[in-house]
Amino acid sequence: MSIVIIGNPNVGKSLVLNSLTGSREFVSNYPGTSVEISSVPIKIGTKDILIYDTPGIYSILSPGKEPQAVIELLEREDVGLIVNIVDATNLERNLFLTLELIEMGLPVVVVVNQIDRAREMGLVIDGPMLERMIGVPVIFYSAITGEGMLNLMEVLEKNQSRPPKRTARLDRCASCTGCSQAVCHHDPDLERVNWARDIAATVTSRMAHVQRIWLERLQNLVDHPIWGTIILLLLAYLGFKLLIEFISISEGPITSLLEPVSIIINDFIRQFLPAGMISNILSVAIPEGLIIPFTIVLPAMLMVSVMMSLLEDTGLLPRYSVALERVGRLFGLSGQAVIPLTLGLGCRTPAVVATRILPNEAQRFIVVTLLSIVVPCAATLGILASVISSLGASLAVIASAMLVTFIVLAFILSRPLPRQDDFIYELPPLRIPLWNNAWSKIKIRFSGFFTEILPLLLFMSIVIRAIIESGVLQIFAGMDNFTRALFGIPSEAFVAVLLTIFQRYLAPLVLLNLPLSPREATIAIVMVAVSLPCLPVMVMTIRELGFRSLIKILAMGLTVSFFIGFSLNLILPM
Amino acid sequence: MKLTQVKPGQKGQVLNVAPGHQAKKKLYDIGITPGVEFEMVACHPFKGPIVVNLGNSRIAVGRHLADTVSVRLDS
Repeated sequence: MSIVIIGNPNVGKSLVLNSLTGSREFVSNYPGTSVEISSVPIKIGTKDILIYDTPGIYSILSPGKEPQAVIELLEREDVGLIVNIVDATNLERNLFLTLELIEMGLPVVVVVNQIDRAREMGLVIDGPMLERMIGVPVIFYSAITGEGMLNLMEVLEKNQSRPPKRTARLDRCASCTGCSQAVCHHDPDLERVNWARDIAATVTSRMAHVQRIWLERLQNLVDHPIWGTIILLLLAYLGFKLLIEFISISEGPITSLLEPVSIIINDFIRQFLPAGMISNILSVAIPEGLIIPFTIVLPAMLMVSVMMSLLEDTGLLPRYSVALERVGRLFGLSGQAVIPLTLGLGCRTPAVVATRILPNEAQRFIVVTLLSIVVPCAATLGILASVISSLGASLAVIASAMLVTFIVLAFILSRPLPRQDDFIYELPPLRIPLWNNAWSKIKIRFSGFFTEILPLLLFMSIVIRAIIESGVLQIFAGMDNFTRALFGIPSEAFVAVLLTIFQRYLAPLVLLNLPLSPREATIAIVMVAVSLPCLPVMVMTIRELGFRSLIKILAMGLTVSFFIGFSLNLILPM
Repeated sequence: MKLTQVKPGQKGQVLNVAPGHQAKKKLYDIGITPGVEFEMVACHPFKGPIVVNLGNSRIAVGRHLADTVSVRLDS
């Protein structure tokens, strides 16, 4: 037998679960973060019971993945009790879902959460009256003060001794028997809406308003179309600066701290293994694979985790999607996409992590692809700038080629997605971040560093070093006619392009040593700039989106790079 | 009148939501239903989203979707 927690987005479901189980579940002040259904076993009385936490939904019958997932769970599992969490400050809308759940015939207990906030706002809710009107137990609850926790435990305990009922389905048209009229005048949704409104109005009364005034004023300022946008952009800019500064400041000390380790490992491998290819590969790849995570990935991940957790917990995050909606719409993406894309101009590793703020997997894939292939990070820009100036390549051509690629790629990739015409978001009230919440989120975001990032980077680093050392790339060295015909660059430059695809920071070393004409340099640099992501980004992509997505992105990157080289060769005058 | 024609600061009541199942359901879900009282908070320029208060919740709606909502202003 199991217990299922169901509620609207952003009502504190996970917080209730946390305070019940003490587990570190993902909590968020942002609608729609827990897309997956998670379960936690707890002991109630003498019995072990599984508690399911479900994604926030407004209605069982809404279109979309989340309600479908909840319905499937209710039909599949032997559900002993539904714990319906409702927001005390928003009864009217929350009760709509409650009525649907009660209509389904499963045992329901209603937990009126954030009762402390409701009281702060001067709302008084008549619990016994609510109980009588909906006919199921009602518990006032506050995860912050702990109110109602014992009552809830008691109900859970009592309930598990009751025989579970059979799952009933909710009729889309509750009292319809299937009419043949073209337009159905019976609207069960509307009936439930009105019913919920009547109940909410009956049980709620308003006392004097004692909310924290300054927070409300701040919220009105942040929600102002012009001042709010300016404040949000300013905050984003400060965060961006802070991130870049943090990475560059921490890189030096960490590198100098780990340099001796790197030398020791290198020496050890060279002594331990007989001289040869394998020793060459491992003695470079292993220290590199161990050091890069600490110098680049660790500070970036840490800082982005902290910043994103704070943005989420304060309720600022959805406001970005409102302010940036019009920019995102240009690319067929939602407004939040602007955040990771901008972040990518600094460092793409944290940007890939930051794509978590996007509403769905399809958009995340698009943004990660754009980041990987076209968006140049600060390091890439620096490297490219040095090569551009010393080889006399055309900055204008390179910059516009990258811009065009970005726009075309974004346009093509977002074509299959539904247009963002149905933009609708709930803006949660701004609040001072709860340290516990923010901390558990930071921990979750950061958790994969040692278990996933470190081993993956080590492995990938060895693979790439092996490709470089094996001389596979040298096969192309003898194909001068071929590379000149296709891309207008000598074969050595093409090998350099292939090399830098794997390790972009080698670009200046290889390209600068070649006698390239400005035209050749321009094409070669664009092919390097628009190609594949760096190693840490690849590893992050595997972690965030899976190995298959990475393969797709790599294939696309190579195709795009070759296509642009080919096109530029056709377009640019000799 | 349409929800998109309301000016910031004005209050009113939602009359109805144009049919079109998915969009209508989305509006219903988030609380934009016939009879509900609202207060316009902000209209973002360049056809950006509008922000309304419904009871104690604050909702941002895209123009396209907001255009399907007819409202009556409080006199």
